[in-house]
Amino acid sequence: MMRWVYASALSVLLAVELVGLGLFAKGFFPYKKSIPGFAGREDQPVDIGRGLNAPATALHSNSKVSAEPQYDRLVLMVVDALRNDFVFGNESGMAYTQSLLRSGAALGYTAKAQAPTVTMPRIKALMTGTVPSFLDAVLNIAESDTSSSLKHQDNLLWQLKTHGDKEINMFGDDTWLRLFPDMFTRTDGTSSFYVADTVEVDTNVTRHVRPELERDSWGVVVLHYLGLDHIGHLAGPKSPLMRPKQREMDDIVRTVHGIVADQDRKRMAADARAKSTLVVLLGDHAMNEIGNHGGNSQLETSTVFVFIGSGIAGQPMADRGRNALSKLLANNVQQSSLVSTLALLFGVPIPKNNLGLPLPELLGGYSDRERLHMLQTVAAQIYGVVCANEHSAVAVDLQQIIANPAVYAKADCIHIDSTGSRMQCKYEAALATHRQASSNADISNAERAYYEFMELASTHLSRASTGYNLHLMSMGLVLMVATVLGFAVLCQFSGTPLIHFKSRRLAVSLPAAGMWITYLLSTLSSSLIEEEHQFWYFWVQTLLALRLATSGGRYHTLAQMAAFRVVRAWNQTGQFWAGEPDVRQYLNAPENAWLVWVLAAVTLGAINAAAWALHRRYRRSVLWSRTFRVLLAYASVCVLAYHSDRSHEGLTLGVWKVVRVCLPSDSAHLAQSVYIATALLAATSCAGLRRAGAYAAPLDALTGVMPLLLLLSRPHNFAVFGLFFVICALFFPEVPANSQSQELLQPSRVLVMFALAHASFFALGNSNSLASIDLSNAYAGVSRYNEALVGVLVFIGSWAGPLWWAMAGLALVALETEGVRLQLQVRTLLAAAHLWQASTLLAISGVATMMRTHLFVWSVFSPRYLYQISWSVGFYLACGTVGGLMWVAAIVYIAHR
Amino acid sequence: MVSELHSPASHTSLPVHKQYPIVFNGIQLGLGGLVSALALVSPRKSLNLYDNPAAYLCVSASIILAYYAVLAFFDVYCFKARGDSWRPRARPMSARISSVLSMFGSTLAATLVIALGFVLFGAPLTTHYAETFTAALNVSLLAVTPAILTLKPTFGAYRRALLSAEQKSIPEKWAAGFFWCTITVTWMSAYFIPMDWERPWQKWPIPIIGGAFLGNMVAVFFVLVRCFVVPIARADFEETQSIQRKMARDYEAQRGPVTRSMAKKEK
Repeated sequence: MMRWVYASALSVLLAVELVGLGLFAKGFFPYKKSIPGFAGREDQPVDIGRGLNAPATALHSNSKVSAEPQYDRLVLMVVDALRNDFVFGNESGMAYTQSLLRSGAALGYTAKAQAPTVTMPRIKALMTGTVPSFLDAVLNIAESDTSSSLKHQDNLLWQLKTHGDKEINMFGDDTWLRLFPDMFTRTDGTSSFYVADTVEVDTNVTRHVRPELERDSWGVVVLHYLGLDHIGHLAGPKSPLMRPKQREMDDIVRTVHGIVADQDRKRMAADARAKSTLVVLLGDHAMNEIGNHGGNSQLETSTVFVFIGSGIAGQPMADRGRNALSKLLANNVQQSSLVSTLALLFGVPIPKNNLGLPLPELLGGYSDRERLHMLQTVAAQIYGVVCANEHSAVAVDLQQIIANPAVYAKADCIHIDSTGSRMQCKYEAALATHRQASSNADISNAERAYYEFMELASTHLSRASTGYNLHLMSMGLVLMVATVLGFAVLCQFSGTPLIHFKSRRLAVSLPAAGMWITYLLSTLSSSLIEEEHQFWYFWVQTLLALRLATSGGRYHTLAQMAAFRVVRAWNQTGQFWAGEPDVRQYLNAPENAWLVWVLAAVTLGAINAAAWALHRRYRRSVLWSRTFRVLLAYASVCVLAYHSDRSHEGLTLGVWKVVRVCLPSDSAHLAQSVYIATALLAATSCAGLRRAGAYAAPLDALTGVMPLLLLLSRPHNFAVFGLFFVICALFFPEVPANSQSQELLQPSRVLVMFALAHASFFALGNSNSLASIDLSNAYAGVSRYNEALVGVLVFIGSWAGPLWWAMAGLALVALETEGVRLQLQVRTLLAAAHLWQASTLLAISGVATMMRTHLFVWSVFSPRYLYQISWSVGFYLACGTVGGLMWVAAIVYIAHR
Repeated sequence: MVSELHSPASHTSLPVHKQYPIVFNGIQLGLGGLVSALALVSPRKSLNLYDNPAAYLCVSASIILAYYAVLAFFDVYCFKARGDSWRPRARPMSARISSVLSMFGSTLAATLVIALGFVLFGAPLTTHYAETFTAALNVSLLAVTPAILTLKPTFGAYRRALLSAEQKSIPEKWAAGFFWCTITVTWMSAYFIPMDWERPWQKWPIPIIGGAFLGNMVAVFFVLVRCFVVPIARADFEETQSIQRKMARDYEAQRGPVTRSMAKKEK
């Protein structure tokens, strides 16, 4: 294949891949803007229905809050994983709650939770009325733990405390305490960590119920029971423990209801303005048939709302029989409606980002006008969220609507294409209908118009936040499939083919094919994504063992395996075994600090010695090789000084102090001198190539790049790079396979190095979790904050191992082949590497699409996707293709000029 | 014609006898593996694979070891490198005991090699010594001991049988079949360890043991096909062909060369 054909095919394929990746990422990572700040009384809109004949200008001054709060006090009883059939079903143990529902003293709903159905996001949704977006969660992982609190987000508890002047007490799951720091007056948190405990965890809460409720001052009490969830996790919903637990919960409902009803009677007798207490029994999420939760299935998302309090008119129970409550199982409302409903009932402003619709049955205690104004309030608040997210929706002009409501009310909204404008039209129509309303029929029209608008806005905006743009994603997938096929064709026709068509057999080695297929399959498993290092460690040893077997037993390969076993033990990574004892922990113990510096010094010394040995063998130009070695030594000392300065237990030897005086005193300058030295090393390694041959530069790069990589790594990892050097050196000289027929079974050295490149990423302590990104050396030598520069440094620091092994592979190829063959070989390898990269990207995109409703989509698949983007774009494309090709072209050009 | 083919004994000048290389020990070995594997699946209360793998694996290893010891002592193992006869030879007691002991020694050496392999592939380095060792003992009994009982005790013989791709004799195929099947399935079973299913059997070294026993069962079927069914089928096929050739020759000798027109006439 011609050079320019190859180059253009490669660039076209890469461009297509980038477009596909961009489309997929845009569909997969939607971003919803949330409005900062807290809602206040002044955010409440002017009642548009008031004073029909009043002049329009008078409306602005008339901004008094209209309706009285319906309730004074709130008991929020959250039962973790309370599925709807645990309350409404015939098998339920909650007889008292059922009797309340039957008698009409309570209102029951099936509340639909949204994925992820785990406690923390659910509590967030229940208290803010929002649907946490995907990218929010991803960004939360990267930030510290405290940032997940709702301290700076508008929420119902803040509103009740600030505008309702309530004292808020909390007993139960300590997630609440983390989410709402400084919110609660009296608390007792229980940890949800010990899943095996199903009794203590609830008695800890229950012992507070009576004493705390009998105190006078409280306004809101939150009780969060975990025992039911624990039973589900341990033994499933059909466990024999389940019904007694439900009965226990039912008893608590009875106790709470009894106490508050008693108190209400006394309070209302003492104070005529006192209002009664609302008790809400709800679940944060439900559980599936085996008792787990997190996903998006029907069972997991069906939890309950039961509202108990005076003034509540229950659903009409036409059938008083046994199955009377079963229709509540299908009485679906969104879980987010709790926020707006409670805010209206307690007369506090609605949290700014709320997307929930108020439950109409609960607003029955208000007059028609008041109710319409409440709906207008919620609609105005939701319209604020619409305006923040949709550019085509703009603030409505109330004066215009008041001036000619008939025009707006009859507007035909369905045919407007832009969603934003359509929602604006609906909103205006609702306002206009409200304005016109005078009779009962008009009022129900206006109500319907408000609900139409709110439903449209709420579904659209919640889709924008959890939902994915499947259209964009599938377009991205199609482009990725095309890219994979294109790379396969490119591989076939550039140098060594994949398949011999003439002899009808596979030309690619069996280990490579096996590893490829196994890897693609392993992306299906969330645990093999979390523990990807296990895959690579296992395959490196397998490939080495295959080399050992097919070459008839060579001690070099055995030594490589032993060295790699040590590398593997250096940094425990992943999720499950991350805390196991490893070499890093040992080295980071204060009493072993000396060992870190000994290992670091030995590694740096060995690298300098290796440069010297390589030069003796491959370089003839004395001047350039000497310059190179002096620069390398200087850079090595700078690296040591940089890390020693930053460490608490730095070097304190007398000799070192003398050396240290000769170096720049500022650590930023030390780092900068390493950067300059690296650039000079690169230049020096390319000098004098005409006498030495094209392979001299890649070999020099193996030692020359080391100071830069070590500068951006942790000191305890220096020795790992030393072991990499040893493993690489043991690849020489090559041994042929025992026999012709075993050549297909013997993994080539480049293949092993490829596996080592991926394994080294994890061996240096990285993992597929965003938590393992190491920012400690990201600011080396950067005096000003510069996002791009810091990003590049983080990339080099994290991908130091893979970058070094990529260079080692290139050096190997350069040493084996000469001149024109070198270019051909590089082309073949590049096409193969991109085939790997593109198929992995496709596999992970496909898995992400399939698993988009899975529990782990935030914690596993989405971080993995971000890492894959870094691998594909940063490592394979930028470093491997652009950097690598240019470098090879340069050295070949210099050597053969 | 057809009936003639099925009664080759009626011809006098046929190959003397077919070399069916089958003896009952092959099946018996398979049975031994099956029984032992079944014992693994149903842990009893007192001796549990999950709670105390090392002790349990000791028991299972000693069962298999005793089984092999009996085979080695009575010299009835399926394939033997020494001696051509399939019948047990009359051997002095000291030779019998020493053959058993050398089997023990070789198995122990293989165990150490396999344990080293386990550690290289990621088995815990500083803990679980007993588990790693007993697991390696089981794997080496299942994978290597068939080779020990079959091959000449030289490094070259092992290398030729297990690591080379040269043309192999049937005993070498037998040894290689057991070795590679067991090792491959054991290798595959390691993928279960990092899965997050949180099952008790995912503990080191239980998946490996399961894989080894499963691989051994696969190996039994594999070598059954490769060392018995295929050679027998081939022997049958070759015999049939030679009979056909012979009959054609006889026919030609009597009637002259067969032509198409004559064949039609006969019909």
